[in-house]
Amino acid sequence: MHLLPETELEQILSGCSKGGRSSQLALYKLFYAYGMSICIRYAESEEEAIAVLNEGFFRVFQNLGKYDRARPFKPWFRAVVVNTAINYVKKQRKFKSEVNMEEALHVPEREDILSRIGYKELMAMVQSLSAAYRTVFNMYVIDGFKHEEIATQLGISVGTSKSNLTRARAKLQQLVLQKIDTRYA
Amino acid sequence: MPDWTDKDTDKLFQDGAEQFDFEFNPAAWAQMEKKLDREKRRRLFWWWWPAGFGVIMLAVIAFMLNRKNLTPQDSLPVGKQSVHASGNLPKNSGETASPQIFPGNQPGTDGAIPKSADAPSLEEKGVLKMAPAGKSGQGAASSGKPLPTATDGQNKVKTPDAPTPVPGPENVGLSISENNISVILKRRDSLQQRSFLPTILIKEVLLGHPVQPSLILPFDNKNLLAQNQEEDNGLALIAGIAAGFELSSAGLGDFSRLSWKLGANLEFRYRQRFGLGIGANFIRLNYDAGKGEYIPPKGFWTRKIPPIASRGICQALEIPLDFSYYAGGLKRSGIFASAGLKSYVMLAQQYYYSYDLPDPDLRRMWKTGKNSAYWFAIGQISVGYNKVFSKKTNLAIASYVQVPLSGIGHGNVELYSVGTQVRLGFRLK
Repeated sequence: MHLLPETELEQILSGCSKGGRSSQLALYKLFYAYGMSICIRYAESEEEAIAVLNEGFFRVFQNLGKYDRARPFKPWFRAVVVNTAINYVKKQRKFKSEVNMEEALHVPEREDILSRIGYKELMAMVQSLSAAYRTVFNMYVIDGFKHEEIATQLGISVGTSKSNLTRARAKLQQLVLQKIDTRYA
Repeated sequence: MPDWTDKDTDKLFQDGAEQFDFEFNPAAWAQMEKKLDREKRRRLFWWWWPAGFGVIMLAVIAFMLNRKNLTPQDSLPVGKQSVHASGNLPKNSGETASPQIFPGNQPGTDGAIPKSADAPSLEEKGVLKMAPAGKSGQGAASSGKPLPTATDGQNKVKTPDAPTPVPGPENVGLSISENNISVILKRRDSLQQRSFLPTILIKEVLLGHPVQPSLILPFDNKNLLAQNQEEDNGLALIAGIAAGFELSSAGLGDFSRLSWKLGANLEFRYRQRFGLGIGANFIRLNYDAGKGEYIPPKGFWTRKIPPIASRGICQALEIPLDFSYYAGGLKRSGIFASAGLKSYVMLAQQYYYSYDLPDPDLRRMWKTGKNSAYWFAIGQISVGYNKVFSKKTNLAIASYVQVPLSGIGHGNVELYSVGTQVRLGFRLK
């Protein structure tokens, strides 16, 4: 997302409030990548992520009247999209299932990892988690929810949330290690 | 590794999540546009339908007001006419009744019945005495208001002593019996007045008081009497051919698909205005259903994955059963309203399913030619205008709204519709 003067964003948002299709397209283009980066973490595929993102944009367009123009737009947009993604996961009703997994054995130095593995691969790893682990991991680690909030949002216990997070981390560490081992074997 | 902590893992993925570089995807925007268009159509419907209904209601109100604001000779609704004109005379012979035939002074009158050569006053004839002003207990007279007159300004009231006029639309008369005073104005007027909806509904339906019998026709005009009686109580049978179109949607989401129908019906009329109709229409249903609005039998979807949208194209026999009220009756044009139930016999059904996922195994289409019936599955209300061309033919145009009472078709779809129908009627009997 390239930086945009505030006035230009204001104009786009005003156009969106009036239902202007060109303004809606401008906002969509402007926040598509950012929105996708959120949705892809919750979805299992890019197609699914697009569907979630479109639902998020739809809610943004519908609720622009509720957005406080005195505050930055990006956090509000993020909140709408994250909530849309969580609702999507809830509708799928997959987040309650838990899958047994093996503990990760060891993980190399973190500073080396990003230079060896692209962020797309990291996101692919997140996507490869079961919905139960993925959702809790995303909500807690990336989107900053607390376990109590996660439990309330998903209708699970705090203990389940913590358990899923622990196992998700362990699984991701294992996947990172495997990726590095495969690449540099 | 001993120094690899959970925080390290979190940081790694937080950093990864920040480094996004998705390119704008025109296909994604195309999906978004579809979504926005659908919402736009849905909103348009919710504007259009109340607006259309409002226009119809305004037309009805204007029609009512127009009935009220007719010229004095045309403006007496039957309710008033019958109440005042046919009120019982007091048994007490010492009291004379005010002949409250007309509600107010008329131009050219002074509160007394005119003493003209053509129409001698009731007092002069000794038939009726006017109550003196200020006498208590006698309605308008008692309140000091000018006494009502038995004239409409143009047509003079004639007593039974008067020469018998030539029967025809200009007949004016007054009939007085021991307990009853009745008046008839122009026959044309009385027919017009009987279409005043609230009065008719109150008197004929709610109170169970037939209006016309209170009008005692003067001068042994049997032809006129026979005509009025026929119009009041006669049954009629009207056959019609109908055509229409409607916008249908499963749920209230998308009313963009047009359906059409063609058929015939038969209507029984009772007391001119009340109709009970049954019909048979061939209808080509065309509609969209959103996610969760198409509910097929269990196990129909591949791996239980439902589509995000379904489209139905069906041929069916529509069987409407309606009860109608015609303000204008059989012989006059006017508005009408109806309510009823519709049943459907599906003749052929074809459905197309859309998914978010590009999975080739998912079911994309299904069709059947097997018949299935859905009785009284849809309720309908309509308002329209019935134009009477002649004694035998009429044309009715109506707007209607249909709401589901139960699901129809393979997808058990709850179908909402809004539409317009035209019906050409031929009176058989």
